[in-house]
Amino acid sequence: MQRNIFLKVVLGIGIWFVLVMLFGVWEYNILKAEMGIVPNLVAALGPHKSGAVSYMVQMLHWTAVSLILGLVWSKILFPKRPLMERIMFSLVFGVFVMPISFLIPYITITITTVFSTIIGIAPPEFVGKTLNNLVMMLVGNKEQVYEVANVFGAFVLGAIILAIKSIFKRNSSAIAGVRQ
Amino acid sequence: MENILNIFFFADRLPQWIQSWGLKYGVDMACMCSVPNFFTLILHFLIGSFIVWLISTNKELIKDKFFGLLLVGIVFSGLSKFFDWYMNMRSATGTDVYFNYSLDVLVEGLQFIGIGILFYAILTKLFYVHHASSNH
Repeated sequence: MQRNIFLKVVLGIGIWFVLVMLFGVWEYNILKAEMGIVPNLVAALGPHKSGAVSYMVQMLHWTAVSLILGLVWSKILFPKRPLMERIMFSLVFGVFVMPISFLIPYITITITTVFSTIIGIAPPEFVGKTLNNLVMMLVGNKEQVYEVANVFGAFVLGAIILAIKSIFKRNSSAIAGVRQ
Repeated sequence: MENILNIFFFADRLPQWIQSWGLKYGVDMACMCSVPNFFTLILHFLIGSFIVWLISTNKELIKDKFFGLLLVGIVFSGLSKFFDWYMNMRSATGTDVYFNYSLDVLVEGLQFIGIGILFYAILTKLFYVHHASSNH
């Protein structure tokens, strides 16, 4: 049972990434857009403060944050799985959570545009406005703000669910102890 | 629908400390490029180490071509991810986007070979047909 949940969750995240890559990249050519926007941002910001060392610290920091986040959520979803599987889940889950809030509108307008094209109608008005919001987010270099907020929000949510779950578990085991 | 999707663009409504926390990372290299590649490198390392541990604890597995092929495939794929991550790192730490065509071809080539070896190993393991012995 536990194994099935683990595989389903990881498979679900994999399907989500395939959807984002296939539909999103194909429809809006977002990689080309980033190739246009990122050089300007890199030039404007200048090199990383301490070069590769600072960059590695950033990588390690995100790894640690993703591991903590993933371990909290894996404790909720499949608490009996081995630590190795939970660590592997954590890294996948971290990459899933970081951009989730702007990938939801992104994939929504992409699917809407694709279906509008197939049906042969003009895309609804919200598509253009949402696309504008996404471009503004990229130009304003606010992806990192969303990533921090998403990971922090998911961690708080996970911690609350885990706390509620452990309280219910403690109460039910106490009731079972009284009955015995 | 527009109102629902606008909920997800909440950056300006966030507390100041979260906004400044996010902005201190500079340009986005954590989302689509570097962190996924870095995590993939770690996953390759974990899986590779697991295979090495399996082979070293059970010597009979050395005779099984499957595990050897898996390890070689993981090494090729991992090297590809390392060079990809290196290009991301050069962009993030430099003054312009670093892109080297030769290195990019090497990344794709190593990934292709790695996936080819992994697919060959897994598919031959799954669909291996035991030939009937000559006694029949």
